[in-house]
Amino acid sequence: MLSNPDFILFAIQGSIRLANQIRAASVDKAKQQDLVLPLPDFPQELDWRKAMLYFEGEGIEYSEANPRVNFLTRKARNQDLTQAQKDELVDWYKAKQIKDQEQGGDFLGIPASEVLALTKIKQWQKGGHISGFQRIAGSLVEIGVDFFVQNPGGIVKDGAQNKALKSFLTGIEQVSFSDASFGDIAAGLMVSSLETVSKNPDIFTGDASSQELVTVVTKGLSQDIQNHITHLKQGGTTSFAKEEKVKAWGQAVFRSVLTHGGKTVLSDPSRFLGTSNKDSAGMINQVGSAVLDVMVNKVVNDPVKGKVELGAFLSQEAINSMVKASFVAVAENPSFFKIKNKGIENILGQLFTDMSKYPNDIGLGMMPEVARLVLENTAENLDTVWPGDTDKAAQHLLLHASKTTLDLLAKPASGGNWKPLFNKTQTLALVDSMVKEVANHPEWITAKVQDKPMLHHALTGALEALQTIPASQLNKGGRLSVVQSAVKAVALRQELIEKKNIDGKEQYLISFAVGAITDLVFGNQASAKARWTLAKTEVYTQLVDVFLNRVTEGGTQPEKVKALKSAFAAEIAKLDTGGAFSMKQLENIQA
Amino acid sequence: MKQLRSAHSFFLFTLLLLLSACVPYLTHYNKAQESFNEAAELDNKLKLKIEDEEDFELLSPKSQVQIKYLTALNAIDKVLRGNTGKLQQDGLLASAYTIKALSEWKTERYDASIATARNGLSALAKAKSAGMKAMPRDAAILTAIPGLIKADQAADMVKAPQEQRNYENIANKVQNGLNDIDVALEQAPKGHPVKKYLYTVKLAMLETWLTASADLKGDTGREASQKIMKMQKEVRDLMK
Repeated sequence: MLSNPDFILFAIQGSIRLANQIRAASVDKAKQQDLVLPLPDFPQELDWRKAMLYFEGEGIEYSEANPRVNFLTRKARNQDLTQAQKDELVDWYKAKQIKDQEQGGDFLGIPASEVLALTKIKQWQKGGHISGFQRIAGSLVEIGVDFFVQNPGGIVKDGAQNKALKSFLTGIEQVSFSDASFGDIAAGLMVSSLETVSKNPDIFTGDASSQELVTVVTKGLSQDIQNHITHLKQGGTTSFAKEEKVKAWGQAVFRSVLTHGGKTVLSDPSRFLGTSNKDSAGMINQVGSAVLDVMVNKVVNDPVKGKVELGAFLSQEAINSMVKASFVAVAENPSFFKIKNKGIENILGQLFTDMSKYPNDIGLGMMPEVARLVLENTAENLDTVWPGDTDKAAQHLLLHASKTTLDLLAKPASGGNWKPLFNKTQTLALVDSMVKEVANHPEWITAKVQDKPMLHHALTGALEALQTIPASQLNKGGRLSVVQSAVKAVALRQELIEKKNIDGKEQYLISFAVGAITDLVFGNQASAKARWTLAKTEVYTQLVDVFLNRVTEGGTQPEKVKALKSAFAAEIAKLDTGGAFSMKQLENIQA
Repeated sequence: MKQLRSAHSFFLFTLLLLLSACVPYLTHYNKAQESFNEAAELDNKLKLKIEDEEDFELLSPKSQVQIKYLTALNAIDKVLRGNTGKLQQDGLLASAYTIKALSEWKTERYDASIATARNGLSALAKAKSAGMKAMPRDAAILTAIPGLIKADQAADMVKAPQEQRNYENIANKVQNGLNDIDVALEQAPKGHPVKKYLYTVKLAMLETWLTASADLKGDTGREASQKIMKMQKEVRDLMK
């Protein structure tokens, strides 16, 4: 019986030694191919004969209830119809049959799809119940042979690859495959597992733990992939291309989970809940399931391609990034991310929903990185950042933080088209710092003014202040630094996000403060000499930082800010006269 | 170490050589079967009025079907030429004859199809006496070939203009064909899927007969039609 993994192993080794067996396998495969048998011809034309026979048989009740049809049918049987009457009888038939035709028609009373299926016939019928494993065993042998022909070193008896293969086969044997077509899933996963094991000899040493992991991960993800495909089939939405996509994504996740899960669990199993391999492997499967589920089920409306799944946006690297970050979260909080907990899935799913709405530059292309930031910070601060129900992603504060930040960055400038304020690295740096701010101080999100979280007001104020600086005078890096300084200042003095009417203009105090120091550098009153020194990005950003520090220490009221501005102006004026000037002096200045 | 490596390389080289030379005819055999399957699938879809996604701008679907059947016929002819010994040894000879006989049937080479089916049945008998595994699908189909041909011939006769149609001739053709299919059905093991296919063939043949019975006047005609409808129902019940 092929159901014994040892036997499969033996078959692989034997096949390599004996090429004749491969030949026999090729012949066997040809013998087992489906042959499509053609249906014979039969009269299909809709003529008076068809109509008459229908009204004499299946449609007799209709005919008996309809005198005209009855009359025409009887005349037809006596070969006594004029051409016009023949046409009329056919019309009656069509009218009666139209509903059936709309439903796709049939073949002489049997649904067309059923007939199509029964014309595909194999040489031998299947005897009794054949397990999925038995069905795919043949193709696994073929793939195994191919792999070891290419990598002859791997077939060493008791080698790590050999043991991994055995573990894989043990895992796949436990999956209840419902369809023979899943053989190629198993084959793809088998090659992935062998490659992963070859590339990571330090992790997969062939010891009992790594063997157990390969078995359980194989079982978990194979079943997941199959479930997704079965679900697609049941929903009637599947196609060959879609199934292939799901298989390919499953394979990519499997590869990633085996590598990163292996690294996490095998390098330090004590960080997990319990130390038994089953617990660890269960958590690994949870990560794989979550990532694959989001890839398959989360769909976005792409303006060009229509509905596109998240999986279509993710490279192997991106998947690795998400899987790796998920493992960090799981490793840090094993008691929380227990089996069947949907924590990771909810985080990834919500991020996808949020980020699919943003322009490309800050949208899904950045999702893996943003996911990593959120997951890693979640791992370190779980209790504070996700205080409520973990089935509700809406209660996750770090998701709020990233959304609030990206929402504001995605807003087009007033009256203009949207342009990215920062490049990708800078955007991620900003999200990172905001996520960390919230992780350290959840009130950024939980405390609200006019229904908006504090973070929203702080960022809005900072971004508004930046609008007064022409793009040509301050680069994106400098702008990012200003935003971070502003948020830092608000963190110290909450009233900076209050809105005041200052000099006839309603504005945030933080905007006013940043505007004040900016005006000294880039405004009309700045002399050419002062601007020469201060408009350099690093000097200007340092100046903003010092100025905002002085504001937070000396007072945030507009008149105090104005006084501070005057004091700074007097100090800066020394640049025109060749006097001494340093940031140190500004740090100690009194308004 | 060096010796070990070269021994390894030699082993691999020999293995790959064996693999590449193992079954050269099999590639052509697979292609022939693939072409035939494509033809039959499209042919069936046309009969079942299932729209195909493929675009037929240059040729009508019926022409496409004919071209595919002819391609399959040419390919399987090439395989059979000079390879019958190997095919017989590998247990594929009867299958090759099955593809050929079916292709000849669908391209209206009826005499050739019957001759090929006989060759196929004789190959099966030889294989059986050599102790090889039975080939139930091929055995049933090769036996059914005369009946399948009669099915198409009868359908053609029914399509003729009324003045050229002869009910008795059509009925005889269909009845003979049904007998051929019954023999094939007896060949197929219980529960084998080929049985359902053969029942479908019978349904199609009965439909032809039924349509022909429309030419019969009065109560005689009505009774004849009712009898055939009853036979159709019996076949449908057998398929459940």
